[in-house]
Amino acid sequence: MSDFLNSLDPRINRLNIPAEFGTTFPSKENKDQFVTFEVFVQPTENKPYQHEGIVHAPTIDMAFLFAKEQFSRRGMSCSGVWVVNTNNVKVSPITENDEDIYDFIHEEIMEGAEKGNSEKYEIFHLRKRGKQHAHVGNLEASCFEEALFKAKNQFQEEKSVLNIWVAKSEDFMKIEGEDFADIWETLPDKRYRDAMDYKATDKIKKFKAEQKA
Amino acid sequence: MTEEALKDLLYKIADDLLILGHRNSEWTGVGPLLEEDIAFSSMAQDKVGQSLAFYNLLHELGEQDPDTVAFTRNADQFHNSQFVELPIGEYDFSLIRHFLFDHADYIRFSMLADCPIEELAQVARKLKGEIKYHVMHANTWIKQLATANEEAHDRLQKSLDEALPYALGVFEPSKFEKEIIDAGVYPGEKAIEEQWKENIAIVLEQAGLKLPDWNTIKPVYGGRDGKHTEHLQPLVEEMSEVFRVDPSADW
Repeated sequence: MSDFLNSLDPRINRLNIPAEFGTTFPSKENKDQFVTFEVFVQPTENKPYQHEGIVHAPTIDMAFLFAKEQFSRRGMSCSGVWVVNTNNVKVSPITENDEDIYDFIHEEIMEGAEKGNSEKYEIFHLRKRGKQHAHVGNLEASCFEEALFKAKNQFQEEKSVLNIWVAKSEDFMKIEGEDFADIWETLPDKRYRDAMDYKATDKIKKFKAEQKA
Repeated sequence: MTEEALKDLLYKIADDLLILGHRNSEWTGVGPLLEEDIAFSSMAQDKVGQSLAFYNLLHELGEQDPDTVAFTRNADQFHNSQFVELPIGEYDFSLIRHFLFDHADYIRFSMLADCPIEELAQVARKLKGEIKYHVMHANTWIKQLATANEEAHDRLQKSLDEALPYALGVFEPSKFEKEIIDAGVYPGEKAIEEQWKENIAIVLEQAGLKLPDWNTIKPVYGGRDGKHTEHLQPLVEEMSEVFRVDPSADW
């Protein structure tokens, strides 16, 4: 891996930090948390998938189970959920002051990269700080760095992109399409899952008035 | 088919869903991990929502409104199977019950989706997708845990053995069974039971869990006629606590 791309999982970078004052961290292997999975949700058909958050899970199948209820239980609709192990997502540096990260991507980033077979990579853009990464498309490449370099030609936008995520298509579990359309069908009927649906203001006012009296 | 037969069918479906939904909601806040806590609670909420759809159908047939039906009956007026009223136990039991019950309900809803009574078919078609996810959830968990380590496997096997007689009680034939089958509403409890045995056997085999010889298991019947364990009345009282304090509460 060249220096340009890092793992999205911050724990990867923390693993080798030595403990302060010469002590060592106690081993917590047996109790350690599950790995994390990144969750992308498609709000409606034909809209791009966007990053919604992470779930902890022992396997990708279970990550989907959790992701569905964590990230699609509210809101009016959902038409698909993708999950991918955090370790399988590579992340570019992040730019400041509206600089376009693509302007820093040149052929040199591929130096030292280990090329494999050509396969499909998914590309995600962060267009504004504080927003979510959104899926922009996929392309064929033989390594993450090449995918990123090719993304510059295919997906660079007029407006600055601050940060890019790259992941192999095959590493995703994608629950979407006709086979699963029915599992989201009743979402619009679940307004009772939102606090907004519980109108108690009058009762609270009455209760407060009674307390004062 | 008489209206009495149809109401009997709707009541048993609705009461199973309401009671199991309430039971499963007892895991809210104390689930085995945060993500699962949310997923399991969410499905419990689905079940209560599904029961409402059936109480609404009953209301259209002249029964009292859903809140009154749900919150003002005593245990012996409920038609749920005893299976759903059993305490949540430890997570292995709750998962096994979720697995056994939802597999049955998925078949039931798939059959009712083709029912000639259009209002009922519509509800079944709509809710089937929710139950599909519940079954995915159950299958994944059972396979994951049963193949994890010996303790998890043994706990699940023990819970399965305990749960099966009660699970068979879900298929207790109603006194209107023939009438309902003849009217083509759905193929009846026996048909669900046979399909259910096939479906769960596939997953249990993948999970390395054993099914006993069905002939050695005596189904626990009675729930459909209002005969319940001592566990139901306290559940009903807890469930209706808020309603009894303020029957006008809007929720």
